[in-house]
Amino acid sequence: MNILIIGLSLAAMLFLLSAGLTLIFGMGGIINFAHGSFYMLGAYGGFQVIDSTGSFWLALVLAPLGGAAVGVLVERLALRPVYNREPFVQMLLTFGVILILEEGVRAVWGLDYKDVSAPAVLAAPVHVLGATVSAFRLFLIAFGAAMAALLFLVLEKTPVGTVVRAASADPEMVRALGIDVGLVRTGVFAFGTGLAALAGAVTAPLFPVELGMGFGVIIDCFVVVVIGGLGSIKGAVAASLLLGLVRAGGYGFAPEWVDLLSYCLLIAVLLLRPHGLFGRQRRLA
Amino acid sequence: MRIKRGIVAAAAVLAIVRPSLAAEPAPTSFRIAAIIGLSGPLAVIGADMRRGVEVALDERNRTINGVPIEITWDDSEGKPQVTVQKAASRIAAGANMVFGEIGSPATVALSGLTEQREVPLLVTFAADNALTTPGRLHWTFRTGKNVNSTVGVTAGFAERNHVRKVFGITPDYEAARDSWTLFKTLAATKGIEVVGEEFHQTPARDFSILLDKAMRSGADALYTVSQGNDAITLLKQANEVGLKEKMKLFGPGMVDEIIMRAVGPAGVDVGSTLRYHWSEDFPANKDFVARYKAKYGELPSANAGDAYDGMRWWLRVVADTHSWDKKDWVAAMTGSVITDSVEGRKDMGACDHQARQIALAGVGVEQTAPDLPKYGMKITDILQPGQIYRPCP
Amino acid sequence: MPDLLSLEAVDAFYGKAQVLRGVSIRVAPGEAIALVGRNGAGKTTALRVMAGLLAPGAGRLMVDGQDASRMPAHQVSRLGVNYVPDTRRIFPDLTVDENLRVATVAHRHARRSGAWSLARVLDLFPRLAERRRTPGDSLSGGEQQMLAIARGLMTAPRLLLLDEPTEGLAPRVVDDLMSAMAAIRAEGLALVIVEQKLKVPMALASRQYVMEDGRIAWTGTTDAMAANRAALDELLGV
Repeated sequence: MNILIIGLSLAAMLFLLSAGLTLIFGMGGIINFAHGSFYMLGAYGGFQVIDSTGSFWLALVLAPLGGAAVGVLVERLALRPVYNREPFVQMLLTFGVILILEEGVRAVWGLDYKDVSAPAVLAAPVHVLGATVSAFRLFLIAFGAAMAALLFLVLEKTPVGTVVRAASADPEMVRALGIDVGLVRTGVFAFGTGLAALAGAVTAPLFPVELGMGFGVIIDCFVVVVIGGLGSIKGAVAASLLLGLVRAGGYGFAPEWVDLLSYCLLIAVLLLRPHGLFGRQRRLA
Repeated sequence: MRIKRGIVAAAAVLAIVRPSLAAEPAPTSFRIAAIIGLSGPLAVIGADMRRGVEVALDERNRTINGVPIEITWDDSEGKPQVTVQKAASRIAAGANMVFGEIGSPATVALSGLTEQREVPLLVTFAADNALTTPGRLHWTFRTGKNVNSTVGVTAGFAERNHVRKVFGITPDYEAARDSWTLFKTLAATKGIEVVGEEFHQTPARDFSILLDKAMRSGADALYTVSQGNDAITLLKQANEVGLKEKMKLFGPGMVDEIIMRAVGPAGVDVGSTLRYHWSEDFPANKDFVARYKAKYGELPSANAGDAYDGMRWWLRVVADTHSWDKKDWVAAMTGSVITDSVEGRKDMGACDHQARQIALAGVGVEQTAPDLPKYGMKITDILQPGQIYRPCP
Repeated sequence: MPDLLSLEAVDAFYGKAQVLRGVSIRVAPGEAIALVGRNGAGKTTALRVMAGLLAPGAGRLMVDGQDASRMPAHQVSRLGVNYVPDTRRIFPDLTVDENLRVATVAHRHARRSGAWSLARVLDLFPRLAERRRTPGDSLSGGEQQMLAIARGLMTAPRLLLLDEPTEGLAPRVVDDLMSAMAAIRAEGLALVIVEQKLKVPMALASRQYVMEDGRIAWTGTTDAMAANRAALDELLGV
């Protein structure tokens, strides 16, 4: 039971982390290596908001807005000029963004670790079906599920979502229909980076808040995105659940083999479905 | 074999030439090559070590026997390869000594280089026993504390806190496993029962399942060798489920000022060894703390104090030789004694180049004094060198 | 009457390769013209320049008497010029309904004047009305072509640029499409029809441009073309 609940909480975190990455990839084919840096930025931003106002909830609003604002700058200044260049140019640029963001965070907040605690309402442990888990983790599960549902609704049921899906498939055709694809790309990139920042802020009470925190998570993000299928939100949900539960099971039975288990899962999925659970061949072409 | 023959040959040459070199000419500067992690996860440690060393240099007006001290700071990135590469080029450029690194793997690699090039290496942070195995390294000195001593302190801590049953969480690498094994041995002699153990990969992303096992194990204490980011993750997640209310939480180097800043209330009452603490009651420490505060506007961390004390000791020994021959320095440092270190008396073991010194146990605390950070460390026990170190034969 | 759209001595390039050489074409409001010629003559490129998808290297694209040569494609579309590509380019993940709705997003204002409502477009293509919830990539070729034209109509255009609307389709479907296009024309919409075969151009267009090797090789009314068929067949490769 405990493994299930903790697995779900891991899945929720993995989903929050990887959703932005997969959205951005789906849109412009951009592999945003700086995703982890936006996650870090969100955690530091969240720390700042909590430090200044004392409100974790306000941090959950402001940190993603900050992440999105930086995302707009990055997309406009760095990525826009190179959309038509070879993919490696974009990758190199996102690497450059990592260095800039890290230096920026270091200049503003210094080298020290920052302390972010869960809000008092969620600080107590609770007992669910014989398992002791924190209220904060239950909140994370609900929050992750709500974000997944919200993303789904927006993408599937709103005009904005329709435009994003259309532009992911054929940006030029969307342009020919009168839509400013540049604006859509900026919007999606900013939304993706905002999501990364949100993930950073919401999980900060569970992890060290430090300059290197983005590196660890970016690997997890890529594992989820590749298992789920590049560009697929549905895939990100499924892969997060799969990986979260496998990891929780791993921690339960063989904690020193958890990473190996994760990569075995990745390899198994790629062998059976080379384009991921919900990937399409077309996207990789 | 070839190396051995080379050494013999060199010694023979030296024996002949030596008298004429009795007074080696003074160099234009005394060059210290400091190679430590200044970026990445170790940066927060490296930055403090650098500050501590700078204070030690300032104290000598940055000269030694009339010669200016020149220090270079290179970023090891925490990687053994980079450490060795950067140190090698500094040595080639005429460094008189090397200071560094932080992590054990990089420091062990670095000691291999300095032994080969016959340049003194001063270690303050890395705790790996391999650095001070008796008779193994000639040019390497550790003024900081080693694994055996820190494990000894934690075992003592367990005893004084009436721990009866302990659960262990250990990162899955050799030095950490050795440390845990050593603790188990010591615990057995004190009648402490080990009721469970788990090993995790590092970096670890989640501890909640392991913590749950610990809480169900019936143990009254959780012992963990996890360090740095792993320790922070573990403490934050232990706090999530209220583990501290049910079990004592402790481990060697589990918390220090840096980690307390990262975890806040989650670190309160957690037991740990301390490398150094600004409150230690020795005259030299009061001086150092005042100078450090004047320069940087805050109290020295454990890493800053540790680095300061080592560098101060070493420079004093070098100055007292009035020689510019590295061999004389090494000879003088071997078995040297400092009576007025920031932690009182320290004896450099002649057999292993490991400093015998007091050891500290402490807990994380919330601090209310206006000039202190909100969370920090408090010393609970001071162990004398005789309680932890075996004397050199 | 001023031209709705015109190309004035346009050169166009793909990288270094020149594809159009001094091409001039004009379309009056409500007029249907056709661009015919062999494969590779530059017809599709001319359409792409008209749609703003490819900037002319020399010469000008004029819309309503204003220079639109450097205008991004989405702005050209907002001026009422809509491009229906030969490969149809239906959004595969989107249902028929969504494919139609996505076209309206940038044209809310123009649509208020009310030319083509969803209901009217579906009346025009009853096959689509039956398949509104079907994803784009599950449609037949004919249905995709209908959807491409229907999607164009949803942008409330004044000019439709139709690139090979009947290519590769069964004769019965071609007939359906032709009657739909005739109905669109009857509404007063201007059309530029690109075809290799002459059946559609002869039936729907009033003027013809024959392209060869990136140039306009012949231009005249449809009646004049019918009279000159013997001379033009060589150019057209029929």
